[in-house]
Amino acid sequence: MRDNLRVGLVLMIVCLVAAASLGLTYVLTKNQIDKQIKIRQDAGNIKALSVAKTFKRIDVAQIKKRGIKLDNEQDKIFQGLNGSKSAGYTFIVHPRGYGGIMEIAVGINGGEVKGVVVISNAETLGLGDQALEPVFIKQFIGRTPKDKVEVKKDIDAVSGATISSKGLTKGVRTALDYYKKL
Amino acid sequence: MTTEQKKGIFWLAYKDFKAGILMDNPLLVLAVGLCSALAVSTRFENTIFMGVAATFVLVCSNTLISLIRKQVPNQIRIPIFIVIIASFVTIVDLVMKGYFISAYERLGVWIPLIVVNCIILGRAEAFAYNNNITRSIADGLGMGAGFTLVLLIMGFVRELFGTGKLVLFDKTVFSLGSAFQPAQIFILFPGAFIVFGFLIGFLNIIKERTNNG
Amino acid sequence: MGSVTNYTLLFIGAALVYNIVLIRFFALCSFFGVSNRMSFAVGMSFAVLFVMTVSSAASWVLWNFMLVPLGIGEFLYIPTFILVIASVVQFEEMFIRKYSPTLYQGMGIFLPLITTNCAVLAVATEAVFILRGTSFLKLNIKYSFSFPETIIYTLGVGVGYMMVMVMFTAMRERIDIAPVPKWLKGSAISFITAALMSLAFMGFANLFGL
Repeated sequence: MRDNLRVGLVLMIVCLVAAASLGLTYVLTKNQIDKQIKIRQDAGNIKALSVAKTFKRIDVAQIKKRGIKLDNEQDKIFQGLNGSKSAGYTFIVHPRGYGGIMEIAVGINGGEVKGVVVISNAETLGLGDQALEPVFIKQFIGRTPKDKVEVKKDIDAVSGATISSKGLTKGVRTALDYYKKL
Repeated sequence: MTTEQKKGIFWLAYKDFKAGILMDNPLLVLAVGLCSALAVSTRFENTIFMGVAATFVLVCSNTLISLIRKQVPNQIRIPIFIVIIASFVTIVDLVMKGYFISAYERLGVWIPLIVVNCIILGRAEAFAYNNNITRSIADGLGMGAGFTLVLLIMGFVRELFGTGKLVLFDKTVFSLGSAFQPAQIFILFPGAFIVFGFLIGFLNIIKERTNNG
Repeated sequence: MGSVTNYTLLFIGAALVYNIVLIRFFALCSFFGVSNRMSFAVGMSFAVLFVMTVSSAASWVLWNFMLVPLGIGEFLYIPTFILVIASVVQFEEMFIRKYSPTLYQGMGIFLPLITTNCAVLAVATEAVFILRGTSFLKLNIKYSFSFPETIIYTLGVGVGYMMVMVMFTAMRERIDIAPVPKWLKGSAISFITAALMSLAFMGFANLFGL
């Protein structure tokens, strides 16, 4: 009986200490982690829409007002500004790839896709992530809301990375749909 | 402890450290920790991070386990090891997410998989649970160094011959020139197996020579 | 994402096109360690299949109904999942010991080693949430597989693992009696053989548009 008590006690202490230390580490690093996310998103915005200098987030209430239903709760829409002039929009969308959800920034100005930037992805190294190379992404530049933007119709997928290609394509299409409603 | 005994421990510790690098190299000889090594070595930069991360976890867990080894009852030692190792891996996970996010994303699921890296659990069971702190730290450092060394070599070869250049932190550090046609097989998975197989072969040759010479 | 076609594609993708061992590099320790005898290989494969499926299911439930609602998922997922796996393995060990002592004797140390099988933890985490990218950090987002998808995916991975284990074991038995250069004998030639198998499996790329 004493042995069992000892075993239970040691287990409990170790687990408590571990959980507490991890909770502490989390609290200490959370700010830094959030900061990093924001930096990458800003970088994504700038690369997707190079003509804009600053970006203003269009908040959820406004999005609802325009009748836009977000495909993923985390999608964001930014208005690009050059000084005080409007310079298009960027859309942070989250399409499903093979390894999971990717985060991409699509910059659209004057009815045309100006840039597509993959902010983060979970595609398979060496296989799926071939669909994230500039060669594939080039196909999206210049697309308009009128285009179908669909694999096999007007977009060529990367062989061996079909799901990843389809995912990226869907993301761009989502962004174009948002743009249509703005 | 007398000075004689202390010196003895440091001498043993030094031998433990050396063993992990070559003769008892965890990857090439003991054949543990393979999964992450082969998968991560597609890029030299990845191997640096993985090597450092794994060594950190290994040394910390070896140290902590060696520290509390007398208090841990035998029948629950494995779950205790697991909780300790998992905690250190989580620390690495959170820190990398906060400060090295690109590397974190490229390493992806391999970071939490450091928990089941056979090397770390293996050394905890085979060494840290039965030896004092100094030797456990030395063993951790040695094994970690051996692991990292093989990783670096593989990452170097695979990236250089697979893509024709070496990219570190977004800067092309070294390039074989445009005349070189990269053999993509190196960054794909068969290439990893082949390079690794040959590395084992080379180590076998070295071992034979040192045993004969 | 609910039709039979989607589930079939998910299964085939997990088993063949993105095979967990030969294409994605998981479960290598057990792959090279247990493939010397066919009985071990088959036994191990079934054991892994069982552990994988139960662990992924349990992890999914724990993640969605405990870790996420409590907001502690981000820093407690690793210990939680690995402890689930360790428990399932322990349970399986007790079960096998009781109902088939011969199998238990034969498999020996490899049973507890399933806990450290990279594939099991990897599948549990992948089926549950996405590790890379910012989407991971917003815990209230539905970005994981649904429960049926988790099961299908895990089964696919397990079956793929079984296939390769059996194939490789059969080959190793042949290699043992083949003329191999002295410095490549043993693990070296095994790796190179695995490399060739991996090349073969890469032929599955783009199967059914995957």
